[in-house]
Amino acid sequence: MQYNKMNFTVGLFMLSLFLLLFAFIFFVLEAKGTFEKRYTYYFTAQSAESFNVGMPLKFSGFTIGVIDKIALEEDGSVLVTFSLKETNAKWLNQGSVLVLIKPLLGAAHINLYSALDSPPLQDGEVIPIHISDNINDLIVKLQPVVSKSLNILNSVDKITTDLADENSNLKKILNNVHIFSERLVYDKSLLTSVTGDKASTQSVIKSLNETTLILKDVKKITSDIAKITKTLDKDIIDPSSSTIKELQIIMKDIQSKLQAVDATVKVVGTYDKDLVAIKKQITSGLQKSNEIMDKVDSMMQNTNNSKIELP
Amino acid sequence: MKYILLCSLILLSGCSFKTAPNQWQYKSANAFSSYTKNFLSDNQILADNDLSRAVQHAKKSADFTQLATIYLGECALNISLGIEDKCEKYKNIQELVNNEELNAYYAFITRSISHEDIKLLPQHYQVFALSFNKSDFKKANTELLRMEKETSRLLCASLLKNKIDKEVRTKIIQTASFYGYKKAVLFWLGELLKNTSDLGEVKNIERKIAILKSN
Repeated sequence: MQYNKMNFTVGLFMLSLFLLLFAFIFFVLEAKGTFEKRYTYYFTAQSAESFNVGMPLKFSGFTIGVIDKIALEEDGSVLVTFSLKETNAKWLNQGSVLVLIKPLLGAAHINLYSALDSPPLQDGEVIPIHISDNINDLIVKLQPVVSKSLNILNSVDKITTDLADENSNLKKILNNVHIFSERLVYDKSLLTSVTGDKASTQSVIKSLNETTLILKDVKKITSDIAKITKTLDKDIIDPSSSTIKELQIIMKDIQSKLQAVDATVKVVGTYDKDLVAIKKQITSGLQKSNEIMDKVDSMMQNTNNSKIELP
Repeated sequence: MKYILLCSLILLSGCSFKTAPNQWQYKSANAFSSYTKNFLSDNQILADNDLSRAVQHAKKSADFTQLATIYLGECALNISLGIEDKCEKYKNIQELVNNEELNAYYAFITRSISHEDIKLLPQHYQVFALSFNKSDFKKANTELLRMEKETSRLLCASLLKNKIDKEVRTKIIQTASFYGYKKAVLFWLGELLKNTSDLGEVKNIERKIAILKSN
């Protein structure tokens, strides 16, 4: 009787287990949409180059379907088959248009554009597709810019060539300015015509001569200063700078060593916390292993007694 | 369907084994049992761990009987191997427990049991203790061999070690060897060595001890 009861219980348990297993598998598959009806549609393209099986079909940024099949037709066109879940079929209607997006960065995908108030599209219908090639578009847009840039460069080249030419107008103007300035210096009458009277001209010439003398003095003073500074370089600055350089090297060395020591001190400072954490982990590990030992003991011992057996 | 699944899960989760609430006692007893074997087998590290666990579990309760029994058992095992042990740990908590049977056992292993207390000992020790107290060592030897529990045999043999018969000593070595209790084997080989005058036999015993002690 007892045996039959046990058999029944075990049978019931196994039955429940299998039922649960099947229910679990069913729910997983259902959640993944395995049993959901799919709607299939088509579009034709000139080339299959931009398409591949599994390519997503997006609507408002959400993936609502995938390309299932790509086939070459008798007329040389490419027939692409894609499918959508029943819940997503509502987004496809008679005004819907597909656009293949080939972004500069990222994978290519197909975007669906629909007018939501249009009547829904029947299963198996063909939809038009347009191709938006971002890379090629960008190249096309850049072409006029490149042409204009080339024109500008050509113009700049022409201007510089003209400037370099001895017979160019700009060169002639510069030569004339040069001649005029020379005449202005040597020809008193020309200077008088600029200043207005001879006395002023004399004053200007005198001033210029004095300026020349002053400049000579300044030149002498600067040469003397140069000599003094040269002596300073040899006697004072050179040794001082070499000492400073050595000091700088020493200071840099000390700084690098202090940085290393600082890092070490910081690391050592964190060790106490680590040690406490490690100790805690070891203790908990030991307790866990003791728990396992207790279980092993209870399995290994023949007797199931709560009292200590004295020798 | 989801409700059926939920109900089934609850039903199955109920099909678990019910454990006794005094798990500490079972765990403590099991750990001590393991300690006995590991200690006698000279697995010292395991034995230390077992004893530590046994004590740890016993210290989960305010009833110190289990703890006192562990301390007494530890002391008895030491004595059974000829290690001098005055059962200090037990004596420290003896008053808190005040268990007559444990007190009688303590008196027995320290060779100080009175005639009145012998009846408080486990059944298989009573005749032996009576003979021992009456200094009837021949009967005590016979009674020792009649004991079924090997640890009891080792304990009684150790209590009787100065008055033990040569055949009984040999049988004790055989028993210890059979169970793989290395510590007991070494102790009794040492006793055999002390009580052997034949030089050839002494050499053999010494070789055995050396081999057993080597790694």
